[in-house]
Amino acid sequence: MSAPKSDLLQGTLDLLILQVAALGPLHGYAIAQRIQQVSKDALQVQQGSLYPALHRLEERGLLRAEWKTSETGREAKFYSLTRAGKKQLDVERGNWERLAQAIGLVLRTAE
Amino acid sequence: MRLLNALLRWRRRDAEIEKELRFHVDRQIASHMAAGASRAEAERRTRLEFGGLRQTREGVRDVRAGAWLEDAVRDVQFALRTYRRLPAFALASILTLALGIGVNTALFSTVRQVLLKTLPVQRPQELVAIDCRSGPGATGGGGTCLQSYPAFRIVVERHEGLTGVFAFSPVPNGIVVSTSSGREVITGQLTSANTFSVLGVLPEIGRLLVDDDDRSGAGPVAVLSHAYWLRAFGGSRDVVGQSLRLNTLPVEIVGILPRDFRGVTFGEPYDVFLPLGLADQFRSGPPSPSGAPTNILDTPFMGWLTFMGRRSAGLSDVEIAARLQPVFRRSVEAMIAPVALDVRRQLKLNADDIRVSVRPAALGAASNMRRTLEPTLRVLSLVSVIVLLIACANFAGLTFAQALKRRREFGLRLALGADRSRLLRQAFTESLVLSAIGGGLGWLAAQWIAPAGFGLAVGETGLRAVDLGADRWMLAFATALSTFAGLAVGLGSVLRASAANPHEALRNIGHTGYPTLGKALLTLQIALTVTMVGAATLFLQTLTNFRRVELGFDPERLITLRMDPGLASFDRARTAQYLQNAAAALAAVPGVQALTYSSRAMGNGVGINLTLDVPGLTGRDEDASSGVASVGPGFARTLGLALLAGRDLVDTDRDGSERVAVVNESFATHFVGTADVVGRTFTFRGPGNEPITIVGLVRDARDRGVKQPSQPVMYLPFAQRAERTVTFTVRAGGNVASLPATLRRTLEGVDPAVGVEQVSSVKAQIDDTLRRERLLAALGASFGGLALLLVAVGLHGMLNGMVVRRTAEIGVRLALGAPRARIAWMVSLETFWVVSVGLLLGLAGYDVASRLVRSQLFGVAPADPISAAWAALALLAVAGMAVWMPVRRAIRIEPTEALREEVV
Repeated sequence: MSAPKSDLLQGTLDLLILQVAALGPLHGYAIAQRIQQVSKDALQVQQGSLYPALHRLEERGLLRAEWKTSETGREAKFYSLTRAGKKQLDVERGNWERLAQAIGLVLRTAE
Repeated sequence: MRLLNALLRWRRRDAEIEKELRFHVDRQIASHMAAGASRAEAERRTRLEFGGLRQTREGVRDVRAGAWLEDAVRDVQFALRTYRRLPAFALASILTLALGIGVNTALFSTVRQVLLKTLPVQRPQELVAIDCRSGPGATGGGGTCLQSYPAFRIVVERHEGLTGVFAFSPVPNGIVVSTSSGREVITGQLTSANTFSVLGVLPEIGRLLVDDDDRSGAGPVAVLSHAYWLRAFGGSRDVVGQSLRLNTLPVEIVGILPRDFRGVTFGEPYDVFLPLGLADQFRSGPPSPSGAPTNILDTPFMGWLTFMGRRSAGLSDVEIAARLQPVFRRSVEAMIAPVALDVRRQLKLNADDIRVSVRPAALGAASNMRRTLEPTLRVLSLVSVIVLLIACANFAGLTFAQALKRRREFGLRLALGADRSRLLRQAFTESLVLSAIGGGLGWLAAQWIAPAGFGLAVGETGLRAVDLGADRWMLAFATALSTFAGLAVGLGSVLRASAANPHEALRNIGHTGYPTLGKALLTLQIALTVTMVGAATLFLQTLTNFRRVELGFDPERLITLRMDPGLASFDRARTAQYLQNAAAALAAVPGVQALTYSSRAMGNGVGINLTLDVPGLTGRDEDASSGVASVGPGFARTLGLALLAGRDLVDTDRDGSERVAVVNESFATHFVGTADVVGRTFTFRGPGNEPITIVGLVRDARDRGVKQPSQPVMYLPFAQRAERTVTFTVRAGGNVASLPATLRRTLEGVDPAVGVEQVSSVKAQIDDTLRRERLLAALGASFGGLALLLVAVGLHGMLNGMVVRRTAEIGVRLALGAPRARIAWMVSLETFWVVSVGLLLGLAGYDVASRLVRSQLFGVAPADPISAAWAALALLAVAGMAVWMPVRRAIRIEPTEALREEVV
């Protein structure tokens, strides 16, 4: 409720999920929390789009899912990065950084 | 693979997704509560944040592979639930579709079996049928078939253009098999020993015929058909080597044919196949001039065989015919050579003008049954297409009416956020579900309809000739048809669904008249119904006309008893004695008014046409032939043939006495020109024939049945001919039910060697020849009646719905003083256009359809106006009845009640 929430494109949501999952197996709730935390509340993921994205990434083989007992004792589905996912993450990061650079250039010269 | 796995586990996965989302939701709630919110507040916030659990679930499901199939299954479940709520509609639709699809599938299966199925042999497309005829004058008389046994032997030696040639002919009149359990008459085919090797048929058990079996002096052998083997031997495997007594000749059974081989001619299933070398045991050659019997295998000019062969690679039919021509010509020349020159001149024997024609025979030899069935099948195809269109139109109309009623439901669903494409998919699925069920039922019904209908068309014996059981093609066809029906009709409801405007639908405003699409469907249905009813009337008239044909004799209470071929083994003296005894025995039975006998029953045809020489005959050679019937004394009297001059045949006209004949009017007109024929003589063409004196003249009768016009016929005394079969015809004094059985017993007691093959009546046999006409009339009437019923239901529904919707308006009009008659008129006007346009279109359709079926009509012209009038009348009557109730309802509306009633 503090900073204005940014609208996330579907491609960028995938990128964020992959990045967060790279740090170890997490369940969906934890992934959403982590994104929110790390971005200092600037990015709040709509749950309605989170789960379809998670399942889509799993379908594509970029994430691996496992049912494990969570920290609260209940069973939850944990997602972790596969090798293909790691590769895709690198590719996406590269794309994102190039894009950010390009936009930065444009903005600077426009001043 | 992923798809398959997904399919198998989707239910489990659904539970997993649920579990996963639940976990997240609970954690969210817990975190809100930890921040200080109450449980209710926490739940509300979480719901908002999550944005709809159901949609999320749908979103996840959409992402997984196999989602479309899950949706389809869900749609089907929804459709089934919907139909549980609307059982009448579902049932009506399913029945209509089952009828349309069932009839068409049955017909398709029959058409495939009758017209398209090739012989179950190796490479049937290589088979050809060979026809060899001589022009007029080449071997006496009009063009003759030259396919005799000597001719076959020559062709088998030098079959140019063919890799193999075989010949066959049925044993006329059947074979008597005497076993320990009694006697049975079976059908047999004489076929050359190389037949099965040329065809490429392998035995089920034992062996089939080999070349040695045809050689003279070879032991008599036989091959049994699969069906007969099951029937007579119970399918026992040690039948090979057993002996069978055929017409008192013992033959050894050497093998059994495979199940699907029923012979080479469609519609003629034979029980036993015998080598051609045995032909003289079952058929006699033409009588020689001295009267002694001849061996048919040695007779060069008797054409009794059918030739078939396998073409050599790369040759066309014309080329093969050209190559065979010199072979046949040489064979005829060789056959003519030993005949004396003057006899040659008299009989006009020469080897010119030999015509060989070769045509493809993948479907087998020329089949009588196929030829007679083909026009009927074509007509039935037309009828069943009309039935299917009516069924689809009806189904569409029903669906349409339902869709109208469900406008509110559609509108509500759209308003609640349903995807329009989802709604469309749902509507399509609903139609497909109904048509799948209807199609399944139709396919089941077809299994029963096809044999039943076919049996009606061809009778018991014909039914044995075909295998109309279920087959893959029938199933595929039924599936395709029901899918088509479902899609075509689904389109109608889809259009409706996509046009649903939620706002209008919810408030139930919008047009109160019946939408154009619905009216169009009803009009189409009416048009098709009129066409069908018109055609049915034509068929009924045809049947009636046939029944009214002047027979020329009195068919009442005429019982026929056909004797089995056991008579063939008698010599002439024994035959004469037998007939005398039998006639005496029958005459002694109480209730017998008159009796006679003949080679064939009246109405069942006459014997082969023989060429005559009549002194003073003017006319061409081809016209010099007449039908011949061998009859017993008192023939004309027993049958009620009007004797116009001279006398009937009597006892004293027997072997050795003067050769006499009774002729009919056509004979007199054709050969002599006047009715004054008694006393004149004629002679059969050929050497050594005695002149025959005409002693009586009778009126023309339908010897060949009601369908064949009368021809010149001579009735010769049975005792003066060598006939192998006899039928007794008895006129009963009254209608005694037990008489036929008594007569049968009496005849069987006369001589144990001759049994009764069939007891029938002349009337039944005449009716039998009208099988197909009866079938068409029955089908036409039933379908026409059904179609009219459906039209009545459709019109009633349409008008009733309209009255209900416009109740308020009618109430207002009545309150304002409109006369009730005017209301009635206003309401009926709705149907006026539908019925009149439908009627006009239907009459046009009737015009076209009747021309297509003209081959099946008798006594009525296509586009017969009287039939058209009947059809129109039937429609108007039905429409009137259907409309009457809603109109009555409209008139009876109480204005005050109508206005008070709020149409919600």
